[in-house]
Amino acid sequence: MNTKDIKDKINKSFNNSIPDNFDNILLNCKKKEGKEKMKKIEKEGTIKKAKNKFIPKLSFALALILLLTGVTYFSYSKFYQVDSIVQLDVNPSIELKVSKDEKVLDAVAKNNDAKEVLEDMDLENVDIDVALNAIIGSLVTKGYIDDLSNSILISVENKDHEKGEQLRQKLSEKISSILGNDKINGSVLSQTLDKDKKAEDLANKYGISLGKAKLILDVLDSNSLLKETDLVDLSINELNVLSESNKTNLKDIQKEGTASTKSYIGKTKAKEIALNHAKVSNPRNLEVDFDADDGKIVYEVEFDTSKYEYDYEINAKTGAIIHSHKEKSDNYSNDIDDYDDNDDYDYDDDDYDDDNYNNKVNSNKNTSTNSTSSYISSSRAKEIALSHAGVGSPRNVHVELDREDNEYSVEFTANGKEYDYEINAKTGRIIDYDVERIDND
Amino acid sequence: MKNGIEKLNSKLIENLFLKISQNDEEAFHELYTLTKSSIYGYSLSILKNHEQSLDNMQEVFIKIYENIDSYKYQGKPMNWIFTITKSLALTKIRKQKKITISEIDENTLINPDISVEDKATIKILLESLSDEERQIIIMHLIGKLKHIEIANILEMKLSTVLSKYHRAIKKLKEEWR
Repeated sequence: MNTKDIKDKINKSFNNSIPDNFDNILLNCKKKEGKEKMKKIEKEGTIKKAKNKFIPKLSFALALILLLTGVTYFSYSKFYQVDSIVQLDVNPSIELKVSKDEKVLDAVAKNNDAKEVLEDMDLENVDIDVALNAIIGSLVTKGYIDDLSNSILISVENKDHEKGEQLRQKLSEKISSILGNDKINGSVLSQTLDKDKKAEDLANKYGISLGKAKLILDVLDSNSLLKETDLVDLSINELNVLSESNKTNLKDIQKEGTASTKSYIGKTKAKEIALNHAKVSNPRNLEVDFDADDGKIVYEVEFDTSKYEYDYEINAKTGAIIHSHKEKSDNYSNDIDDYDDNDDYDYDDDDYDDDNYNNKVNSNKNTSTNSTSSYISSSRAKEIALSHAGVGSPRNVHVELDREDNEYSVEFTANGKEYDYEINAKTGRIIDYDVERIDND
Repeated sequence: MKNGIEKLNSKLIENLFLKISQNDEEAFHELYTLTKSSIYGYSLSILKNHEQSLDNMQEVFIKIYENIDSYKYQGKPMNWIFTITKSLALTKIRKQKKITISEIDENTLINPDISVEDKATIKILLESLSDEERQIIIMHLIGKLKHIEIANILEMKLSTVLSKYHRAIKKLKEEWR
């Protein structure tokens, strides 16, 4: 008997032990709900007239539910048309079409990251509050919003500006509170969108949301050296960082909180890297600021000595020198631009391509039948996970083959973290993985 | 997915949650079908009484229905469900102890109406495994929780959960060779 047989055996016995009492459960839920609703209404004092002692409380509550359901159904057809458009930008960009009674009629992923966030979430006809809760939850789970990148932009479009403004205020408060519940100190940018030809053109040109286009235009206005192409690929947090650094005047955008710069090396470190590289110990007129170059956030470090002027661009995340420039300060034209083409120098560790494993694994086998022989071995699955995690000596390793799903589950701990991989048992491809810090011990 | 009952997919369950929060009764029924055996089994592990476990299961579903709007969508719905199940079951035990400390009775342990084979299965599960081993087996095999999630719920080290899980599987394999 294998593990799956054991599972089936236990599952069957449990299922047989449970009489079908779903209707009873549902009735109890409704009863409770009815009581709650009635309590609430009584509290608000709106149904004093209806407090007839001849009507038993419970049947009244049930009648109320029927009535409410009826009303909901009626209004459903009445409101089944788009009233507002709500755009959410983090880096994932999501557009929600919302009806008059604030239900989501459609949720559209506007970029690939958004597809991952929405996955197979079915938000149709869900209250906008609930939908936001689900989307933000997914953004947090998937690591798009955290302490390192805490900004989100919400843009509301409604023909009636006043109504749009009300919804904007309500939703931005809701987002702040959801983030607060997750103990994330977020920065929520919000705006009500009106006709803006320039922003529409920019949005269409780069396939970004109108809301993000408006933010980019504001940032461009504050720094004439920036180009559109420097900014369109930036996340909202990165744009938020730049706008704070440039003291951008956010025209129509309301803002709460400050952008997180925790994923960056810091001005002191950037300065140190530049000075070390230039072999300068007593710089004059030293300035360090955030800047953007071709979709990356960089530190711009400028200083001079008695003889030269220096200008560095340093990748704010990795500390890599992207560009360095040195010239004689007394117009003695002797440019040294030796590091100019160093854009390829990049420490980003997410360049990993797990298709490599596919190739390796596939070349090792030649059949694709359904038998166990077509599975990669459990030690191979373990190896794939460890190599991806960059872990040499794991503890608590657990590898399990799920034959129904054709997946290996590989779990282990190392360096105070717990790793959890799901690996396609046939191709060796990593389907999903999760790393969590261990809280205790 | 070939068989919905076989696989507890987190995304699927979260989608059901979304629908339940919009008073979708069919979604609630589907959730019931998918999760009842995990909730019942886990309750039985703690309460060791069939009727009480059924009651507990019912209360868990009511609690889910009531609190669905406070659920955080972070891909761990079964974690949430088991945490509710555990907390309600422990409340029951506390209340019970105040009244009387009754001995475990085989007649109340298992549903008397099920087949001899099913009775034997549950009996072995209850007798040959320790409480912790049984809870781990149910949460991992039936509830599809990761070992690390179980470790969090049971407040144990991951290594402890893993070794208990392996020991339990070994025991059951021996029993049901």
